[in-house]
Amino acid sequence: MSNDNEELTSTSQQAADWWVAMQKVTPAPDEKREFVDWLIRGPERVEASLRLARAHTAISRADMPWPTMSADELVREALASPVDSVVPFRLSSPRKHEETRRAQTLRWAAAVAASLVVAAGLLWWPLPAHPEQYQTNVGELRSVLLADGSRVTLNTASKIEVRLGTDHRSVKLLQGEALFEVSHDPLRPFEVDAGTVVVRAVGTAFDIDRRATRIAVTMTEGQADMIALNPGAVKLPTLFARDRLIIEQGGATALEHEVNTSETTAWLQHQLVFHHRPLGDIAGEFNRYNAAHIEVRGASLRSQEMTGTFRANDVASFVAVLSGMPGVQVVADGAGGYIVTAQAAAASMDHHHG
Amino acid sequence: MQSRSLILEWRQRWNRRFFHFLRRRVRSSIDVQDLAQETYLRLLRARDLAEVRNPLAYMLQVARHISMEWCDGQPRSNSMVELDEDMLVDGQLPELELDVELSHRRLEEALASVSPMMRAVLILRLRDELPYADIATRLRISDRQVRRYLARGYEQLRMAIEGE
Repeated sequence: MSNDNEELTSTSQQAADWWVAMQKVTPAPDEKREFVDWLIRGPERVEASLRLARAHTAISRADMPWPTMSADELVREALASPVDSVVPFRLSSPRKHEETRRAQTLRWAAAVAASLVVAAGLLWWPLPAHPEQYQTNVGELRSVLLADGSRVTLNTASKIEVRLGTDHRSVKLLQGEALFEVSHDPLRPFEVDAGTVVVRAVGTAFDIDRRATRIAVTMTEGQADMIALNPGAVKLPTLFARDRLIIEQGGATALEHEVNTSETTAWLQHQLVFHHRPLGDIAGEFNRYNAAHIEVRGASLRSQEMTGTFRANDVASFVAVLSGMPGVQVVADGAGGYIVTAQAAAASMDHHHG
Repeated sequence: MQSRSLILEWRQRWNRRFFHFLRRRVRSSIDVQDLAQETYLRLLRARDLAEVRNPLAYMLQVARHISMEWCDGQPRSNSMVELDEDMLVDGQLPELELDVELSHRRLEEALASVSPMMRAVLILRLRDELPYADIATRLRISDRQVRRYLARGYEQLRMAIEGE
């Protein structure tokens, strides 16, 4: 990524830099290009610029109570002040320090929380009846180290319940998606109950994605037995590495081999990877991770396929791609989200004129 | 000089009229986030944003147009506004939901709290409207430093106004 430097300063600081740089009737072409590239990367940049504009308006009001000091006095005072010792410190924004401090606090909090999780797990060890719950909010990712050494990583808006006993380890995936990296222990099988199916493993790694209408189990390492919970359901196969089993709501199953497991677990890196996926599905994926929802309207537009890799929290880039597609129109829904429609009428009109 | 101050006066009068118009029309104030989002979408639809004379001024005009559209209660049109590319970047946005008295008090406090150098740069630029080069010469700093002080100063003033 080329914007490493950029990430060191906040969006509002970048906006302020551009605000000052663009105070010319006609900026240089490459300066303009650079500014547009920066601006177009997300609505939060437009917002930061609008906030500056609003502040500027307040400052430029005729009744702004400016200090009465003359220009000469101001200059004299400025030159008399110890510039060099003050400037570098002043120039670095207090906001950035705050953010660093906050990040450090968070890191500490996370470390303390992690050790508490382990400690809690140890304490609960002899008490199998006591479940522990872990969950994530929309857009959150959380990794939990269980007392037996297994690691569970929760994707966005997910919830699990853990019971570790002396002869079994049981986890309920109540909602969402999680990657399970199971520590090897043949005396205590590790079972994950996902509602209609139980995945039983000894030491392995797998991803379970539980949705309203289907459950997908993907093995990333080792092997595990699948046990159907619905009475009268067909016997499910044992899954090996790179196998994926999809169980539909009605009970229908589909087994895939040689799946790309790094794409399945791309969410660990906050990434979304799509290969010829319908726009409706892709919007649905983004909606799992973000409060700002995207609604794609119209069956033909929803089924239009697209390939690409996005950051899960970068709705702006996806919206930018959509609005660049011919015949597609994107409007704000007034609640922070976007509505995507086919521009059928406008497109046919263009045809007549063209 | 004469015509410049006339233009300034006209612009301030115009801004004030625009505000009063807004105050009358707006039932609930426009949220800056909503406005930013809609502005962003319209900018995405503009094919060659880098071709306009000043993209920042253009962006502000789009935002202003949208806020007028919303206040007027007219259906949102999808067409791009016909814009005057010669507009300078300046006080073009209404103080949508700002309390004037409060923000002026906060500005005064913020100006008093920054370093003498930053205060001088801000006032020479915003009150006295001196060019960057003149400010640099008088304060014996580089043009680049003037811009940096100004950018950081703007950010401080914005935070003060928003009560951060």
